Amino acid sequence: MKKKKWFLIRFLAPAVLCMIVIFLYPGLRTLLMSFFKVGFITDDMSSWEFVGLANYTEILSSPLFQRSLINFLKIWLIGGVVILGLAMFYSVILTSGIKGKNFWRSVLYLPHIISSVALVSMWLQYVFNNQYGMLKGLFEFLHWDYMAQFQWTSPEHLFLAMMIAYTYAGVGFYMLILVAGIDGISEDYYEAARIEGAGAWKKFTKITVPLLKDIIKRCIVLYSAAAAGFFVYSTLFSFNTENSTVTPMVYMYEVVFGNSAGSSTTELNVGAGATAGVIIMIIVLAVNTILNKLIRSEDAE
Amino acid sequence: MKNYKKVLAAGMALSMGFTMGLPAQAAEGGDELEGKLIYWSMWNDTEPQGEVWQEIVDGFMELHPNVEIEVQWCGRDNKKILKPALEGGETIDVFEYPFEIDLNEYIMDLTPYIDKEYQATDGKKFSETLLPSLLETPKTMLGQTDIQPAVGYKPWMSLFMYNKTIFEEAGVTEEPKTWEELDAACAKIKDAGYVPITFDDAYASWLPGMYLAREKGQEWVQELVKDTTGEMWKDEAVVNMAKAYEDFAAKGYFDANVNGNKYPAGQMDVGNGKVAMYYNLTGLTTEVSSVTGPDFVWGGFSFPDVAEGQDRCGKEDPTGCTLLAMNKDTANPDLAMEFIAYALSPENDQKMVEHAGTTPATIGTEWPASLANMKNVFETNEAALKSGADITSNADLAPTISENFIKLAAGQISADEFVSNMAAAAKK
Amino acid sequence: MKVNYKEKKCVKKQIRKLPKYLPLVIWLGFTVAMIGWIFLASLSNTSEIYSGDILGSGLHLENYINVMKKHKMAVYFMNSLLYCVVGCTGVVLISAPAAYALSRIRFRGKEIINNIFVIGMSIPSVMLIMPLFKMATSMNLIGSRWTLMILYICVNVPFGVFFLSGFFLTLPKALEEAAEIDGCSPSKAFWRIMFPLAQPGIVTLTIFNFITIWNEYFMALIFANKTELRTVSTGLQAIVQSMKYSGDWAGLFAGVIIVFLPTFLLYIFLSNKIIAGVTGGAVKG
Repeated sequence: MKKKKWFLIRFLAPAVLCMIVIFLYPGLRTLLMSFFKVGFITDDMSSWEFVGLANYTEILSSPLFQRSLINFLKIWLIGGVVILGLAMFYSVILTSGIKGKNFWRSVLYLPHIISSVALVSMWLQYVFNNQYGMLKGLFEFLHWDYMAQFQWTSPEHLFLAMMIAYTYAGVGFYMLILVAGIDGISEDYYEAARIEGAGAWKKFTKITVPLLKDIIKRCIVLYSAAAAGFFVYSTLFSFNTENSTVTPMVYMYEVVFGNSAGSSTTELNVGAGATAGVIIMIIVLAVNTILNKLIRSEDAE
Repeated sequence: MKNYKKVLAAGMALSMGFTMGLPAQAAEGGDELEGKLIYWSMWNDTEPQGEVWQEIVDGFMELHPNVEIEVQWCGRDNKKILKPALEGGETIDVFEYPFEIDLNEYIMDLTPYIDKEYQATDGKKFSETLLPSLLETPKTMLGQTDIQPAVGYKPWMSLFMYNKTIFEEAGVTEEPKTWEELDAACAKIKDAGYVPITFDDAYASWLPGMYLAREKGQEWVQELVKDTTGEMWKDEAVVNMAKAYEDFAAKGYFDANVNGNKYPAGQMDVGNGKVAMYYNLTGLTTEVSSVTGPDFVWGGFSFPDVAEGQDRCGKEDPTGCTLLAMNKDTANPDLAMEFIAYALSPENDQKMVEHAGTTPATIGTEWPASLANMKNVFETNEAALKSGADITSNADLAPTISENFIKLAAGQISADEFVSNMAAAAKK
Repeated sequence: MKVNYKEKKCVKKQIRKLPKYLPLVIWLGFTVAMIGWIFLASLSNTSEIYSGDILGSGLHLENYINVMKKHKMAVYFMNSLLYCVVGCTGVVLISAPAAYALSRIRFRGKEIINNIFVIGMSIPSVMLIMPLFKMATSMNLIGSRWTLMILYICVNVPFGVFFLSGFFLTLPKALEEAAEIDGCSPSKAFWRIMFPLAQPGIVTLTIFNFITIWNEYFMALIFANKTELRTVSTGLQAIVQSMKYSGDWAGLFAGVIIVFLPTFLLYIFLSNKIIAGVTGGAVKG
């Protein structure tokens, strides 16, 4: 019995230790930090100054943080619907018995393995460029003047541009999951439906979607996590922090390491960065809980 | 022969050091410096300034074989990188201090060092070789007047940087001093077939900032961005500013691409000869030098006066310099200062001026051709403003100002909309 | 006659199928156009790019030479490789035993440990970064490759445990019993018998982690900001920035292509393996 215990400790200790040191302790510390005024990220806990909920009221009233929350919701909801929708669209095409399925799947997945920095450079410096850009050239060729003049990177369109680039990179990943899911559905269902004379749309809504429920939920969970950590595209699309691209993660980075931390008018307080983190976590947890509730309740029926 | 002279000079400096009671370390080490320095640079090694710095580093190591200098080419990302690195206790001895962020916790007071002599100062005190302003400006820029927080080089101003050839072709002979003159100049430039003004997203808010500073002064602008009632944005000064730019936008003085310009698209347009003016730091000339080529003739004029009687044009402009600071935790401050003195020696400053086309830092160094036209503006300046008259000092509001100004200049919103948008955004 | 009819039907069928291919062809066309142009632009020069006259003055291979000479691309690639290899190996070595213990052995407190992993996985990295930074500082790990290596291992362990647990559950119980009869100690039984059997799962997990670590940006930005520590991502970002400041667009695109090409070539040869790995990781996780 002792032997078994020793064995268990040896097998579990590294992983559990790593969980505690890298996840639980920092998570709790951040949570705690969000109630304190902290001058520097490296300050010891003894120099923290308790301020209660002041950090929360402060950043929730900050227009920049409000924008970051709105952007997060847009990324999560609109981006999510578009990206998962497109992924579904392409995965249905891929599983409809087309020629060269593997080839097309590789093509769709390709953007996901390219470094985001390289990909964003391609979009920003070429596709969306307002002088020699691909879209400008294309629409000029088509004599579609309105679109040729379209400023993809102007403040009001930058978010759209960023999301198009993000969609291009992200669709492939979710498509892979969905294709695997659809491939797992027995051909018999479709055969039966075909005999009954069901059309493609009916087959999709009556067979594919219901049977993929768990897989779709998995996609939504993965996408929510990605949306919560949305950072790279924002920083690469904006020179300074901009309203149209700021996300909570960018906000936190700015407060803790960036320009706004040291600006002469605001007092240094990295506690606000921790608060931003906590708020994001609450949102993600809420989303996941709601999702679990929704999908489980349907299962019960 | 030359080397012999240097040794002699060093020897003299050393013996003088003895009598003045310098630290024993200097005496023991003889003129052989030893140790390792780590320098985090704000330049990229692909830029002309970076290339000159590489020469400086190599030169210093050649002169002092026992010294090793390691350079981190951070580029302007130093604004993102330096703070985490310094907080993390990374070994950094010398770094360029990005004045936009607050690193005052980490800097060494250089007061005891600037009045010393160094091997590179040729028997003079360091403070006697550098332009006096480059010792004063760092103090005001960093708000540290009691200490010497850093030493400066490459003094800059922000001006309306322009393409002199276009101005001449369009028949603009005098640099505009008032808004009306700027208006007239733009009209002529437009008639000549060029775009008068452009800007990039990164610097968009400097234009409204400077206009407001000309009307009311920088302090008022600082108050304005801190205002939480939204009322200040409805002030006549803001309305006038918005109307002035609305007017310019309506007259087509701004490039059609201004609302989509991502840095550095706009300044490339100036370099390419498509656009005449770009409100920016004098360092712009170096940044676009690969496009302009050597024949491009630059001019630069102070932001014009906008209201009668203010008379601030040419007297109050954003000025500053590149800041070279020392980490307070550096293991070898004497060596670090020796390196700084070497880097800012007249000889190396000359290299920087010639190769990178920057403004000189040392007494007696000639100005580069690309900036020679702007020398007088530097000389007449009386009060140093912050960039864009500090309009970006409220990090919460800065993106909104920038966004709304871009829309205003692109003709997407009216002056009234600008005012109401800003008032609404500022109100808490 | 018959053949003809069949052909006709075939053509008709093909035409009906055409709309299916259209979205795929658009995607492919766009990708090829974008990357193709970037490639050509990387061989051009800045003023040609702006005037739309790409390659007007012939090939400028020196763009690539300049990027390679000025920037330590080789260092960036080696770093990324190191972080990936160490990260992936570490994850497997730590999470496989834990997954095994959690999935095959009954013991008290199993629920608690299981819960720790589930909670851990739901904490977003934005919550972790500040204390981690503080920890790295007090351990004097800033400015060393160890920081990222340790972090990349630890951050991916919970997922590894979760993923491999599912895999171990599918193996037959008889295997351990046989090992026990042969006198194998439990840990020997694990490393000799179960671990090799879990290989397909481990390969999947490794591919998945490899891609995650290779493209990670946020932590690399904070913990690897020096040239010698930079990953391909942060290194490329440094190149892009520096090229913007020196107005060298062709050089910028050359940097992008240099980063893109090795990944792309690897992908061409291994796309099926990679796709299987990523799919497995994402679906089961």
